[in-house]
Amino acid sequence: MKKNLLILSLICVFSLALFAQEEQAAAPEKDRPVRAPFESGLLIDNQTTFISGAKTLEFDIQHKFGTMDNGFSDLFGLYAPGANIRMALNYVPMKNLQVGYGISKTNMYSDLSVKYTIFEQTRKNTIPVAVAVFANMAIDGRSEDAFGDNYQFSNRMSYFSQLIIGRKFSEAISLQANVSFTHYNKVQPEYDHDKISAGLNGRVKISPQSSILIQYDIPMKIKSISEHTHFDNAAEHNLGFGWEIRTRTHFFQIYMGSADGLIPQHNAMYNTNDWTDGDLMFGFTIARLWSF
Amino acid sequence: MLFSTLILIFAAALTSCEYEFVEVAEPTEPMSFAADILPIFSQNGCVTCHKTGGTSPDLTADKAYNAIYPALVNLTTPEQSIIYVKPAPSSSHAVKYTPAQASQVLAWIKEGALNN
Repeated sequence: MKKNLLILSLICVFSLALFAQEEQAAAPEKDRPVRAPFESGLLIDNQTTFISGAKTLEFDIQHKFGTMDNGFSDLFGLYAPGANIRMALNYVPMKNLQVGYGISKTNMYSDLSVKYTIFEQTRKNTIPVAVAVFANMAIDGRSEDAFGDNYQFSNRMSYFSQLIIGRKFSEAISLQANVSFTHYNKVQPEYDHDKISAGLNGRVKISPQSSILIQYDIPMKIKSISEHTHFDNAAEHNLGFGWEIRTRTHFFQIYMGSADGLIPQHNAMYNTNDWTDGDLMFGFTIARLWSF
Repeated sequence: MLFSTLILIFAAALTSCEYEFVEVAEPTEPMSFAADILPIFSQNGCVTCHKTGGTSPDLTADKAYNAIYPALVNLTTPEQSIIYVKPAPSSSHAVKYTPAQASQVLAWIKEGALNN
């Protein structure tokens, strides 16, 4: 009898242990997001799917010089008069949501923006891509004279919204594609109010702190949304390539690009610089980040 | 909560879309170079760069006319005149005309770009 009890209790213990093992095997391992698909939220002129950790404050200084057309006479654009500057503050109130405000020299644009990363790519490919949405609203800050007759405050407004899909292919290579919609409330008679554009950007990480950046944005010529019969004033494509250095509390980008605007809707609507004609300019971005 | 906030922002942005064009009334009076055109160059700050010894053309009061006419003016097709096109309101020039100023410059060229 004693022997039977012993066997019974052993069976119980083993079966419990087996159950426990089965439960352990059945519980799926947590699939965490990939680490830093991009080093920062900006990639030259474009937004990336990356958003810093919650409660991070970021201060950006973006600067673009003049085009290199004039050669040495203005030191390849470095001393040209048409430089553009944007200062911006971005804050991440909660994980994957960023809000920001910036002010640019060109047209004195004040822009309010929001970016939300809906999905992050995960390490085991449960989610193979990162998906983010970005939207901003800019207020043209020039004097009323710039808007012609019948001025109203709403004439100053322009909007930009973008869907970004990105993937980190390896430790070194991340690519993303975007599609965007731009709207200006009031434009010169020869321009359209709406513009759809598409872009492709990527980075190649070459050392723990450095990456090579590349971007190409195409403001598309779509007859069905155009208000004109010809695309005489369509914006030129925006090519950019640069070098990014990231530290724990800063990122620094130095680049060459063709568009002179520092907010995306301006480039999608008004970029007159054609990189195939050599209309390229130097630019840089300096950012300081604080984590609270 | 987050989605509803985002949707609200998008909705607000979309409902406030307008489709207007910048329009200005054509100047009715004949244009005077000294009284109408020259003040534009100083008011807009063109002369900050385009001054004697600075970037060509020299747009300071006593040199401006000779710098502009005939080199930067196209009397056959006034809309293609460099002095009208280069700082156009939608150009990427460092300093731009307002739409009203652009209209005045065009009218002045159409009247023969006189030194009046």
